[in-house]
Amino acid sequence: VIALVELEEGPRMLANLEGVEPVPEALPLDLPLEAVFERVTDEIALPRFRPAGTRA
Amino acid sequence: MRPGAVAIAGAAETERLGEIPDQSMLGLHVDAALRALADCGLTPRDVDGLACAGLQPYLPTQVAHQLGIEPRWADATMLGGCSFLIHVRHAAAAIEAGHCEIALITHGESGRSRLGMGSYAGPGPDSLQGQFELPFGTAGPTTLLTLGALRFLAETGITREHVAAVVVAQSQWAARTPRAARRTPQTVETVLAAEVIAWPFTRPMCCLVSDGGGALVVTAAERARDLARPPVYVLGTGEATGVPMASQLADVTRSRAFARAGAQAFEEAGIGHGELDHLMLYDAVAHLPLMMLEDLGILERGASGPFVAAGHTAPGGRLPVNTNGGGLCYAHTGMYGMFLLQESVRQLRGEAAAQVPGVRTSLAHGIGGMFQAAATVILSNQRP
Repeated sequence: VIALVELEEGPRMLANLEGVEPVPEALPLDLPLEAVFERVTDEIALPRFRPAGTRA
Repeated sequence: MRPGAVAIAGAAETERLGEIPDQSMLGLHVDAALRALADCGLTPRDVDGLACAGLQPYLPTQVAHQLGIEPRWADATMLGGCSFLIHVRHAAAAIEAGHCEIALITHGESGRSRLGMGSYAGPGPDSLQGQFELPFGTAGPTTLLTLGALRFLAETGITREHVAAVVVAQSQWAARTPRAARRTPQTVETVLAAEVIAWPFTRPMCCLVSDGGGALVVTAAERARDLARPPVYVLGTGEATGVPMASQLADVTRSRAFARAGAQAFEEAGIGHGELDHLMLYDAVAHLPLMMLEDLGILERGASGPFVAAGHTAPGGRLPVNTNGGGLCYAHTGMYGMFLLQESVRQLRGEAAAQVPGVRTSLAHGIGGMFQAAATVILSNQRP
């Protein structure tokens, strides 16, 4: 899922969502999110987001 | 520019369109150029200005060499699919300034067959898009032009059915257009039932991928009147830069570039929104014409969806839009803007496949890249 995410601090960024079904019904606008960081390589981590309060 | 001082004297598309497995990008430029010149009774020797846009560098040099000419004015402005509308604006200024007399604008793109397209592979990892968009899986127009679409629908009250109605209307124009690639009339139901490409967009809501090209001959109105075809006068033009990344639009439900380019063109033309008989609106994805109708100020915010669904832009409607079938149904080479202008010229000459009776004024509006630029050209068959 590709999503535009507005941070509480103001900026808007492109990111991926995880922890949510990739279907329209599960992806309402203004869904509260929290950041998680995916380690892609030893040097690179990418921010990702999941619905707030669903961290495993 | 004075409205009507400069005119489009010649116009033509490539002989073939759609899938052309044996003609290179450069070959398509040359085919279009020779046909546009022949259209108005000129030859390459008459050309002293040349504008081209594409992903390869030095395109005007390459095209000039192929045509055997040495132009004294060149414009390689590359701002995506609207570049050719910008070339018309720049050519008009160059002609007024005396920098050239006969400006040729060419487009050729082997968008489907990828012949002679060069090695450009898109934004690199150190580019803005490479750092901030591509890592999240974006893959061209269907994932970038659509980013703000759900918010656009939510804020305007425009529905997915309204977006499907854009395809329905254009499929009706395409059904009347032998060169169109998608000629099967659609209904809202068939559009919505098709495969989802990027929610909420289905395949018929996304443009074609085609091979083809087109060219225009631009010159002073006085000169154009001595040539073989009736002049199509340039009343007003506008150009605007947008944002380097679609995700960074100030408001993802609007394009300030659309609005700015349009406002310049209307001001220069000295006409009102109600004086347009025909529109060509760049439709890489089906919601863009709706955004353009609103951002250009032709319709109120939220009014575009119901307007299209009521059939007003379809054959017999009061404001025909994308009468060749558009990028959705006619052809889309990748940089589609040239085809907007070609259809505007055909309608104003009275020679379109799906001709609208009595067209006197036509507006073409294009987007460049993923909201990276925009341009507007207002044309008329009447000299003001």
